[in-house]
Amino acid sequence: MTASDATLSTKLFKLNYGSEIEAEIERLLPLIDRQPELTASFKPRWLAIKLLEGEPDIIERVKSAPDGSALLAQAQQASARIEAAYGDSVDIAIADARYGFIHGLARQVVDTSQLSRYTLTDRIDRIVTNRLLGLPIFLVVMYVMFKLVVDVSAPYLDWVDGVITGPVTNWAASLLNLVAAPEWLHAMILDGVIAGVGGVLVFVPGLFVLYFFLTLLEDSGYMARVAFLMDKFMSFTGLHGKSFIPLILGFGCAVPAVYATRTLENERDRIATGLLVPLMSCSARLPVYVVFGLAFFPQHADLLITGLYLFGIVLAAGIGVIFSRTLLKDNPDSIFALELPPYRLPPLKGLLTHTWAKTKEFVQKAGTVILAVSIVLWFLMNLPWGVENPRQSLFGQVSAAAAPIFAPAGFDGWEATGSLMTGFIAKEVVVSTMSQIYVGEADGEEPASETTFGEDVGEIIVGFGTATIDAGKMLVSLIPGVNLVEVEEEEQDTALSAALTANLSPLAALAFLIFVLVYTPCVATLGAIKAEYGQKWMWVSATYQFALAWLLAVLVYQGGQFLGWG
Amino acid sequence: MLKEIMAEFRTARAPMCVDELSRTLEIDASALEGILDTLVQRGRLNVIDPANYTCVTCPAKGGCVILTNGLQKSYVFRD
Repeated sequence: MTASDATLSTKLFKLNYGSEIEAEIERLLPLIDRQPELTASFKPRWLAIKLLEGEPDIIERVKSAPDGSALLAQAQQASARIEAAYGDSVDIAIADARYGFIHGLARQVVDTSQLSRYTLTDRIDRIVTNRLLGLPIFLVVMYVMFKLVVDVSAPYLDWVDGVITGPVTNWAASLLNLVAAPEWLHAMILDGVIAGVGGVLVFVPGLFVLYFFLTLLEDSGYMARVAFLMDKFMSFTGLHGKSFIPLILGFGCAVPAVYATRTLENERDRIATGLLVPLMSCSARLPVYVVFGLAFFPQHADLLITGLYLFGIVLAAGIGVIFSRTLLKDNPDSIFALELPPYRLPPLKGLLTHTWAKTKEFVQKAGTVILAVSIVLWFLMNLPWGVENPRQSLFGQVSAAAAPIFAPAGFDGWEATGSLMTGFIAKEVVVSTMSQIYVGEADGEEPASETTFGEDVGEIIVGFGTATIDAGKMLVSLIPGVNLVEVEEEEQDTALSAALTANLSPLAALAFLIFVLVYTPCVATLGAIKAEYGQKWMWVSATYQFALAWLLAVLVYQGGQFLGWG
Repeated sequence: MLKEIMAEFRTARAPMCVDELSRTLEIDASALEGILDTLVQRGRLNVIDPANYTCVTCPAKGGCVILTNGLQKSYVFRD
């Protein structure tokens, strides 16, 4: 784009507003020239235009000048004549002349002949939104994102795990000893709070990476393309194309996603979409996927997680077809108009700010909901007071009583059932409960090693440095043909993963993951569904998802066994 | 030019975003924004901003790039 060399002299330049307006300006100028008080502050032509436009500040100023009212009366008459001539108010006529001049000038001086007909965004869109290539590209993007989440966050995950089970546990134990806390408080803090909350906090690095890439995809404009791609897919399911936007939001958290269904025009679409939103894998489920993925399928955890996310989408589409033909028939046709924003490279600061805001919410949840659940759960696991075996506790007995329901799905242990029950409060609690049951017990058996505060701090700093180097190696190793981690690769056998693999078969673990993906939404999501669509639909959501989850888990487990995978 | 824009809105009787209007009237989008703002200030057009209307109670409103980018701010003729 080039600008001409033409320059406008500000001294000589005078915009012509058209014959009627110019004539009225000329009539006002002699009257203004007779007002030295005004001409001392304002240029006469500018003042005349402002009076014609009826600028309130200028009118006040003129009123206070001697003989100002006569000038104002003349200006009002002039405005009335212009309005009669133009059929519109003076300010609009003047603005029209200004923008007309700007538009004309821009056309004269801006040379667009060298511009390509297609912008970079158009060129990228021709590939990314292509009918054949669009969906495979989306699948690859999803896979790369989860590969990065699993691989790059793994060293930090181990580091946070080490910090929580090492120094943080040691400090808490020392502090409790210092204040001579009773034994039960020791047990509650170390086996309940630290195991429960810490078990969830170890996933903060992984979630940070996930949120970072989700924000990158959103801010770059790619997610809008995904919504565009999914329009055809959604119309196949009988849902509105715009429904995919709340569904995408569901990857973060189902609660805002349910509220986002308000963007849909008719109630039928809103309810149908709201019932499908919980089938999207929200970020709270990621800790469950990562724990099980690394424990049972360490070599293919990224593929497993990608598969679970995609399964959620496909399942939502299938259920959407059923809903649109049964519960929610007769959808009036409406058009999906989505303006695709140009691609842009989001600034790093903005990306980090958005990512941190989302991560902070997760940490706050760990410090409130999960903390409260961990404490309540610890008490339930120790009632009747002094019970030795958690299986005999109130929580263990209730969980064991419900466990047979899951026998056909292969995970009928009281531990798994209990975790699913608490997961109703928030999905992250599934991991926190398992951590409390398995790791809490294990911690009691192994006394922590004696270290000084300085050694602990040193260990934290060195651990962070090592994790950063390892994450860097992992990142570089994602480049095809480069592998910096082959020699150092080792199995991460944490207390939780060891306990899980000892209690469940890989097939049962897969059935468990499917159940976690589909089963009854958390309390907050059900609350949002009730607030948006009413109590009836809240119960529909809670019951259909539980039944569907059970059915799918049983199908996976029984089908796998039938095929000899068990 | 303002009259052309107003005529376009009167004919369409529906909300239009800057990109759409820019294509229809062949006016540069960045120049058009100023004109539309003037018409809003003068009370000739109303703004429909998805971030302020449909998503007013959504907790994710502030950070939802899909909604703010995908569903652009539109303008509608004020009767």
